[in-house]
Amino acid sequence: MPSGTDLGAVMSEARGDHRACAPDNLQQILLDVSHATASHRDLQSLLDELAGLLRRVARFDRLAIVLHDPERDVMRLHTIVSIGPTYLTTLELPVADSPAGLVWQTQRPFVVPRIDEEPGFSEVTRILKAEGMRSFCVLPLTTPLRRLGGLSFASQDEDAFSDADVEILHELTSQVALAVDNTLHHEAAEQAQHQLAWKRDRLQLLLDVNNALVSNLDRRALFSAISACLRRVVSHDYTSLAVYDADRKAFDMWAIEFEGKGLIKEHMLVPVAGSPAGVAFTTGEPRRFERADLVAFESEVGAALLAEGIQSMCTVPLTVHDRRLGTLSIARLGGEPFTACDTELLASVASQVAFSVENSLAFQEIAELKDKLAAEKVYLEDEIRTEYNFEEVIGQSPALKRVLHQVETVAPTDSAVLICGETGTGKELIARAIHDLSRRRQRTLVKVNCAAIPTGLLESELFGHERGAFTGAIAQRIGRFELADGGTLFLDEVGDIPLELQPKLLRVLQEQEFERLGSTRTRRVHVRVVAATNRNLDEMVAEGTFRNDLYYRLNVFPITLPPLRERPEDIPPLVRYFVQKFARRMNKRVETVPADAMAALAQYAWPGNVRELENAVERAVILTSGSALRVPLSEFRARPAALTGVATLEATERQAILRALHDTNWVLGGPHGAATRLGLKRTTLQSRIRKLGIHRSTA
Amino acid sequence: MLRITITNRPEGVTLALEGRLAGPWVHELAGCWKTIGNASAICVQLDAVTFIDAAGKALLRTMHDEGAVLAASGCMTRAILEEIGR
Repeated sequence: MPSGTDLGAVMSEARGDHRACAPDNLQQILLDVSHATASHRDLQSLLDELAGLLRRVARFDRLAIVLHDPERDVMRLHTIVSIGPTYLTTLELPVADSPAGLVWQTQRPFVVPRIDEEPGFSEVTRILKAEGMRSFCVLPLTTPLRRLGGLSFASQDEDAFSDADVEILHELTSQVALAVDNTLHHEAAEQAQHQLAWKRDRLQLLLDVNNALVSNLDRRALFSAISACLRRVVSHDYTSLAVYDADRKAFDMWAIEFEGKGLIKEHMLVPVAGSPAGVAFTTGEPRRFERADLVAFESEVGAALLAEGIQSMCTVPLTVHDRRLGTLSIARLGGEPFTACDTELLASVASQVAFSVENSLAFQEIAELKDKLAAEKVYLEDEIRTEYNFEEVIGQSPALKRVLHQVETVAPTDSAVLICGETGTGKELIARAIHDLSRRRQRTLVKVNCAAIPTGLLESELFGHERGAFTGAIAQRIGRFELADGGTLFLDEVGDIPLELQPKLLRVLQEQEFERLGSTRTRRVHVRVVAATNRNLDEMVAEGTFRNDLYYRLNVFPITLPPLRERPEDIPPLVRYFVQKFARRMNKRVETVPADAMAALAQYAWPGNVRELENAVERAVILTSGSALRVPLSEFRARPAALTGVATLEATERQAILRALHDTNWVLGGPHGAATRLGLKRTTLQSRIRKLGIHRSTA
Repeated sequence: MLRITITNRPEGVTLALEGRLAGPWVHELAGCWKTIGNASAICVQLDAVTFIDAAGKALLRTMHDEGAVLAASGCMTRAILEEIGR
């Protein structure tokens, strides 16, 4: 920045004392110049001192340093010292139009004894004449390494510079060139240092912002930390983060750091049109606004910003993977407007904040989905509980009570349970009851119907598979054992598990570990297994279609569900229960079950057990038009005869054996043993007991 | 779940029950009954009850013994009320 200095006293005094310079004086001046060049770091103070020293050599009233600007290839007035007022603050001329340019090119002194007679360099001569100068000379300002420009001397006297003066000044100018070069280097170094400091501050800011992003999960705390980091580098009074809400087509003010009048609040909606954020968001470019720009915004937020006293604002878009999320803004209540550097810095911060906002939005979505899933799980569990409500087991028969007692006994343990019983006796209901009364009730009961899944898929269904484990395994799949980890796995129709899969099932039951199909990684689970079957596993073991070791592992605590025909006293309450249930569902008013109908239902053998009874009652309720249940009695008189005989025989046999065992306190042999009472051999009785699945613990 | 709706009329108080009279809801009905007291005639409307467990049955029996009128239209509930009335 060129500037003029009035050296009035020194130079005016020196004007009349000009004399030729003796050699010893010259040496002294050279020493003084050398000393001056070593002691000044800025060109203006150097030139001030040099003007005084050189005045002892030559008569001049104006001294200026003109430097070549290599970037723009012009000669630029750098520093000026004048005895009188100077009108110049800055001057740049093409090399060809500047006397210093000529000297810079030719490296020879250029002397103009009378400015009035100089035909060239019109701009320079005009300025010098205006300042009262009448002669001037320019000497090359050159170091051994580079050409810098020229040192210009001007005088109010004509022909002020003799050849001897020029020769001495030329000699001194080489010293001055070194000083100028040093100073220029010093200035460049300072500028570079300043830039480095700025870059360091910027990197530190980005690091601090990054640290804030990873260490603050709370949105509010995170934004405060970012704002504090930013304030250390760019002064501001207001920070805001606006996130675009696609549903409402407006910005949601996510966070604001500003102690104002409260006109701009968090979570207020800001329209895209007519707002500073909208401009940056729509264009995708950072924007700077001054007060006049804010006045032009017609939206409520524009007025609010003005009312809060905002004088300047800088807004940058938050963009991730070409997706615009919102804007980050800073604003000032006074002082200078924001610069391009400030904008660049804010944009760097915004790119990091954008990732945080994206993560936050994704986290929010995940949390919402998680809540939804949890709600759905509660709903579905409730629905299952309603369908399989252990508390709503209907019946008061001793056989049923015995089963319920067994359930209550085994449920709190972690033992495997094998539920046997004919189809439709409620095996799943009992399995769910065991789970609900166990310590695992908070976790899931996972059901697998082994008979319903194709043999080839059962292994994958139970243990899961890795992607590509077999043709069609297009994605990884978690098996039921993993799903049931911590809970209970209900293996329905366990007798239908193929023989080749049984060792793997046995291993997971014993070791609680397995591998997914296509994986070598062993997974550990903690699963309780409740199995159920309507098949005779004893016979299957004997036939070799079911592994005996697996059978013993499953049969830790067997529960045999009595068929409905063995507890006929439970039929009337079950009928009434189902009548009421279906009547409500069908919006009918069925109040009574005729006695003959109830008797027929109670005498029927029910080979399909409770499920068959439920379906029969449903059908009867459909047929009913009045308040009394209409039961198609012919169905229940015609079919059961043959079935009833077989079933009753087995039931009777079971009852007789149980009674004999009870009366003899489970003594089988001997004259007072159960076998003698029943008229059987002991071994025959033992065989019958095994066949009927009678166990002392469950009897 | 059980919903109890209390209606005060000059001739007495009606407790209309909807849902399952079982588990913790038995205690809830008992508390409700206590707050009403014996001052007025009580009618327990059981039309919309889907299930009654043993404790619920016992409470209804107690209420019946103390003068409450139990009314129902469902097949199962009516059978239970008949059993209570015997």
